[in-house]
Amino acid sequence: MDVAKKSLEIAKELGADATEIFHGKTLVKIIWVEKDILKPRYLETEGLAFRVAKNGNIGFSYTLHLSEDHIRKTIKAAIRSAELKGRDPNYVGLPAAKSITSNYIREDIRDTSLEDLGKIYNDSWSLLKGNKKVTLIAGSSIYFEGHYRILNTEGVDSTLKGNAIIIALFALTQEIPPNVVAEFLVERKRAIKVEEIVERLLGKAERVLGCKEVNYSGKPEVILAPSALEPLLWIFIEQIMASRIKAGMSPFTKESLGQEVASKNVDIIDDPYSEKSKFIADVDFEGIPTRRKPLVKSGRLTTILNDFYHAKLFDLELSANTIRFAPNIFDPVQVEPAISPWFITFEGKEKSLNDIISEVDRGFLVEQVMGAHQADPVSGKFSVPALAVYIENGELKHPIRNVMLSGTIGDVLKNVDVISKERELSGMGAVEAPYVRTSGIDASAVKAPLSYRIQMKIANLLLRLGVIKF
Amino acid sequence: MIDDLFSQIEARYKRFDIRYEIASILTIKLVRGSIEKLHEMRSAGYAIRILEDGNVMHISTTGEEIEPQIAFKLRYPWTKPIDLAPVPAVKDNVNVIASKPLEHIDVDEKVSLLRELDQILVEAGIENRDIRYREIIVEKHIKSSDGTDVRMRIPYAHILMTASYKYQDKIASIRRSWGIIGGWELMNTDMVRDIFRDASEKVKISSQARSVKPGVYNAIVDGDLNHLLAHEAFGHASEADELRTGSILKGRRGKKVASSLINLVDDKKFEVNGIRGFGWIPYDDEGVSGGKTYIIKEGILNSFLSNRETAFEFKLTPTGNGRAQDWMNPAVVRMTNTLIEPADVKLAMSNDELIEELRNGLLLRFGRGGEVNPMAGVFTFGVQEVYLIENGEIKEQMASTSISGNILTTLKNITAIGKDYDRPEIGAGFCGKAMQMVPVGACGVWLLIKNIHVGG
Repeated sequence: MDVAKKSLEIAKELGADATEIFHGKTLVKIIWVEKDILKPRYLETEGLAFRVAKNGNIGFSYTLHLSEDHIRKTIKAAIRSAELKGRDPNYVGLPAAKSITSNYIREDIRDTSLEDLGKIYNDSWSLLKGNKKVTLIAGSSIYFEGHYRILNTEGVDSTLKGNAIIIALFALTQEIPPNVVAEFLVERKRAIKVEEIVERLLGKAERVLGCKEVNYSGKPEVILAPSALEPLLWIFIEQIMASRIKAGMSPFTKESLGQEVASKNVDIIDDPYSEKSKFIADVDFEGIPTRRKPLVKSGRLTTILNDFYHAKLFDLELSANTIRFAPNIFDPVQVEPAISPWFITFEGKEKSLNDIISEVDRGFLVEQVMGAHQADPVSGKFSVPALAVYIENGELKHPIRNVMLSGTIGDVLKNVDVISKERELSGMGAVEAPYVRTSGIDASAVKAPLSYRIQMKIANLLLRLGVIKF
Repeated sequence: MIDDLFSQIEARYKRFDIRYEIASILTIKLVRGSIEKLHEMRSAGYAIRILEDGNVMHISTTGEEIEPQIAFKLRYPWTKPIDLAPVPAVKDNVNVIASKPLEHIDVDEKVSLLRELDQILVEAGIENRDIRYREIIVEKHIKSSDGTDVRMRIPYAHILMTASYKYQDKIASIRRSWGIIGGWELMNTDMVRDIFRDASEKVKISSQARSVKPGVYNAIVDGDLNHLLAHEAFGHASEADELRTGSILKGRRGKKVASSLINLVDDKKFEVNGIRGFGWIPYDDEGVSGGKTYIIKEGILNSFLSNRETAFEFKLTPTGNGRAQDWMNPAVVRMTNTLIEPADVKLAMSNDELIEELRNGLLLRFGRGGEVNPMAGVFTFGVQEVYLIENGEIKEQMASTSISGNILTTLKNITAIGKDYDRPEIGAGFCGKAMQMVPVGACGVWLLIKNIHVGG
């Protein structure tokens, strides 16, 4: 008998009221580069995670050792966990759903080796070698392959399989201090065109090369680049998670569905089937069939992201957003299922980026923001330093470092008047965002002290003379 | 456990190290008074590092055999050889002694404490509450071909509270952190209760408070923000792996980078009154013993933080800062307990004297995370409590905000420094880098800084 089915039997024997088994095998190969230091990594794990119902609650535990002894101990820990939590008046048990095979393994890339991953970075390096504007400074090429099975006592027996190559490149503009620009790519084919990603990297670098120091205070028109929009967007995405709403850590409630949360010019979509996503799935990590759905449609909130428990609690349509991936843990077995979007995309009133810029009298194209995770999660109030390009009379003038932007994510979304046709992958491949034009953000910038500016001028002179090198 | 694997690798490779880690984790999450999570988990595995001919390979595995076909000889025109700085071989076994080991305290008692803390918020009228208790008992065994054989057992307990309060159409949230290394006897419940009472009052005031007008202010930062400033505004840029990609501090060793009033230290064994900083480590994850590293001494950049790889690469003395999140990750350069201290205690002031010295400006208290770009030299962090100071007196509480600044200028603007250390428990937290989280901590003295850029 296979280990998952055997585990179900053991759980029953140990007195579980209902059980879910997650059997996961994960293979990760990584080429991690920091300038001229290359660090290959290899990680292979297999394990079992259990969600076990007992006395009206559910306990969780996992083991990376598949002997019967370890499985028994782990299931007992999950049962104990459920018992200690005590009866949940909103207990709903585990979902019943049809079994689904979600297989997005691309055989073409299964034999991707560390050498292949190293070649991707090396090809990028070759293309940028000798470039006077930008230096490739770091990056990673990752091959990820996951084989997962979800089995529960309600009849679910689904599999999720997928693989992908995930590429991240970081480059510095050739100046002191430099700006960092990044590009991401998710691929499921052998032939990877690094030329395209390198070209985009160069385009970004050109826009932020040659920063000026200015004093500024005002409420300008703002165009948020995808790399600036994405971290701010997460404030909103977390606010529409049912678990946050349950905890009161959101301005929204179930009654917010249908209400205006953004401009009518913008739709925000969660798409589990996008080829650009790191993991494509027909079924979520508790066995519920996934679907592509708008989170915001014509500015109105249409979906509260949920799992089985919270869908029943709030009487919501199942959104199938139970996910077991965490940013800092490669192995989903060790991650408790939690609510998260699959892959965020945008639709709406579109224009080309050039047209959007040309309509701005005075404003900023914000390329990057820092520290958006410091925002107040409930009010959505943020105050973040940004790297921005000053726009005057419809033209990009010069970049400015350390512009402090203050506002709320609610106002940012409500004030969007147009989004770009262009899209870029951000957030290590979790969001494909456009450039959005918005307003209602306070901006302030302060010149650095004169002594510092003089130091930097001298350093840049030495850089041009070749005395200082990156 | 480690010996069989050690023999296997030793038969094929000359230079390597193995880190075997077992982490026993207890998580309890109380949301609005209900237990939402209560998990006891255990993760165990090996992190193996093999060096050969200037190449390195990191392997993470739960098994006790490594795949013989793993390739690790990758060379390109841009790669340079990797090696490790020599360190003395150490044999030691460090077990943090506790009179009441965390694992001996019944889960019910831990749940009861959280319920009691939750009740404090309830009584203050705070409806939206999230309280988390996380206990991690980490056992490590590090064994290297150089002869190092170190075992460590470190217990961590951490409480994180988030609460929000709505007043009319305005809403604010607050966060408090509290953590110790050691046993349950260090769980100062009176102090934690006071922290919760204080937070419940402050979030109510914050929800009705005015925002600070964005701009430049003179300000005092508290001990928690001292740690955040040391960590974000300078510490990351002093991590030697940042020199690879071009930290703004590259080439500035021996140069003035801060006010001569301050030392900025990373202290692996930081303790105040028997309470360890949350980043306390007897050895790092390469088996290197570290002490107090003076990153800045009397305003001069004195040292970078390093692991064995970066110490070799940049010809530095290894400082024992090689840390990994767990067995699934390699050790990279990380801070431990980082804070700003007075360079000369005779010049340090009491907190009241600092406020008097400031006269007019802002008092900033309690951080809410931060971020730095060590290459561009820009940092930011969130501030939870903001007070106006007028004529040397603390006045109105303002809404939470963020501050930002430049690595090379902000520390030069410290014009006065305190002498009273805030409690290290409140500075306990986790820092993320290279997709890894590690415990860090410490609280310092209060600082008076000129010209801080404050958001709205």
